[in-house]
Amino acid sequence: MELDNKQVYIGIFAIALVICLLSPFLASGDPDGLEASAEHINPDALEAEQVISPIMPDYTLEGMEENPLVGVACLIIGALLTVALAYGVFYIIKK
Amino acid sequence: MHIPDGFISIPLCVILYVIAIIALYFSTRWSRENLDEKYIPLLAVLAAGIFAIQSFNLPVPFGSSGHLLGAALVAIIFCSPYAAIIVLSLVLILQALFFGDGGITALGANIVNMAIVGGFVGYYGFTGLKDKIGLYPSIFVAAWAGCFIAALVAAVEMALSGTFPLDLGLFYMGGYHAMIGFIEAIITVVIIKGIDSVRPDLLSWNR
Repeated sequence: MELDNKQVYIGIFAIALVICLLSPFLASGDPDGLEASAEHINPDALEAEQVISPIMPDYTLEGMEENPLVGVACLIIGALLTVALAYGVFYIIKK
Repeated sequence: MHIPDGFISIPLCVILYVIAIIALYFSTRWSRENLDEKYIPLLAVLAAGIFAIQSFNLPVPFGSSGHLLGAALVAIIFCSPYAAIIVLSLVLILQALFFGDGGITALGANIVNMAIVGGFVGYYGFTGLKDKIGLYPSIFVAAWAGCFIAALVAAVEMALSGTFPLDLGLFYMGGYHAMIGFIEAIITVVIIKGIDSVRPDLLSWNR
């Protein structure tokens, strides 16, 4: 099976969107390796005040953490932002 | 492995930001020389794929979880650590600014660990091992090592900052990421095998 360039780009982006759809439902909520290490060694560090207040903290919106569909929307926005930023940056570098 | 604010001392944050900026300078140079209309969209959609897959934590033993970093993946596909550095950095910048995943003061540290260390270990692990142990085994080992060594570097940074003692930091960060590294290794092999079956010409070593 050989795919042309456009099909490859669309295919990869489609896979990215499918992951965005599934992640809020299926991904593990266990602490990541760094958080788990901190829980063992220095739990206080995890309480540190964060310097900026992002608009979609933890890939959801404040007060809507229980709704996985909000998470899906945040991830899709993130995937679109990533493509746009990467494309823009490479375009400018190449100019 | 995204380090939040408060884990890295401010002087070290500054030093790591400077290292990240220098690496990004070389990455933009690599991009200017190596990218064309075919590879710019490919790298852009790969960046989105990495953003998405980094949200997908998989459980590992002893109550932790981890996700693909993707630095070894990009470095091996493009045969350059600089490809990984620029793609991962873009993802890390967006994660810090919009999603609070990784602190803004620790952004330099996160770029150094996941993009630079992950990219260099992934790339040189792959090129150094592929003639000795074969193509896919070398990809597996390089991806695993990229994740594991990035975690050890993070542990050293946190020890220098007084957040974790060095021995316990290396033990826990190394221990968890030795397991998380298998997620990195398996997914990296599967994706590269997939690309090799649909478009082998997109893999730099096939060109």
